[in-house]
Amino acid sequence: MNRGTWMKIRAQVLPSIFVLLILCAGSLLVYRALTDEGEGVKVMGAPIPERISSRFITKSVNQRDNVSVEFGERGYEEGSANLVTSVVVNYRAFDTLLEVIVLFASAAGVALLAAPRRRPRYRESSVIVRNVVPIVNMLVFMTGAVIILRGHLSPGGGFAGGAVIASGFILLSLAFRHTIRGRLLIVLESVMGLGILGVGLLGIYYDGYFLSNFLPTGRVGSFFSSGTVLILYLLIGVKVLSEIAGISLSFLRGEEEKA
Amino acid sequence: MIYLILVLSLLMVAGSIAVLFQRTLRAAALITGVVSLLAAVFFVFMRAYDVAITEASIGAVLSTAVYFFALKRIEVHEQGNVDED
Repeated sequence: MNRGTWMKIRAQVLPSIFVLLILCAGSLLVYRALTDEGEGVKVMGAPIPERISSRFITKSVNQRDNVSVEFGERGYEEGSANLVTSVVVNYRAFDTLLEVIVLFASAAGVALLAAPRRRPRYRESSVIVRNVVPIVNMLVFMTGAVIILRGHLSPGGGFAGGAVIASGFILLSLAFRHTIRGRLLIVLESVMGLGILGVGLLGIYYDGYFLSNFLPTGRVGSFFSSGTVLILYLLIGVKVLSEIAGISLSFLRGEEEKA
Repeated sequence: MIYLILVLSLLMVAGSIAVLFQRTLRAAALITGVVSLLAAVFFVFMRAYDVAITEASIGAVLSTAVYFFALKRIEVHEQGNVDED
């Protein structure tokens, strides 16, 4: 075998073998999850009250009783009125933590590639933009804050509200010269990430497993009703907003640098 | 109701095909944003309000804005190269 064929094998055959192996392992995992006859709640093939999704709906994964959840009642395993939130931030909180980490990795990549090297030259925006943007932004920021803070009661949550507030920051930076420092965004993001990890570690301390909901769950439908979900969604919202605003601002500043 | 969903999905398919035939990348990015907005309306009709909010804010606003910023940077970069030659 000469050198050329070996290079060709290394470039084309080995990656496809690797991809095939990963696909085989993934399909094996899916097959095991669908057909496993072990202990616990089944994913498929079980009658509907036995399935894990109905456990999420009745908020009784540990308690093994199928009751309907009503507003104003206490004592459920998870107290948020929004079902999607109770899955995303409580039962599947580890998944959400890794999603935030994925977003952090993409923000770090963009900041690395699009970092401004020279001092940006500034072009003033038009009068209409400068006068309309503050009025619109009041609405945008308030809507984003409501979406974040009421994530456990009504549709929405940290990701969506953070994205709304970040689009408000994009509008601001299109209109004015000095909006927010990139360094402040980095500090906010790091502090919020450490806060999420801290809440998870407190869960280990109080309940024995990571990101467990250790606070009292309260009355379904009231503001302080879901234990750590409110805190976690606040932290996730500020983290997502600083990451997305950082991505867009690094693109924008890189543009102004050469224009 | 079903006709509304049918019209919406046909509009989304038509928009996605129209992206392929645009002359400028900027128009293609704009139509991608419009398709995302239609998808958000679609999610509202499917009673998935959480997904609709996220799709409207990220798909329709933020990704379009990032496309525009990136296209602006590419244009500036290409013009700079032309000037140097």
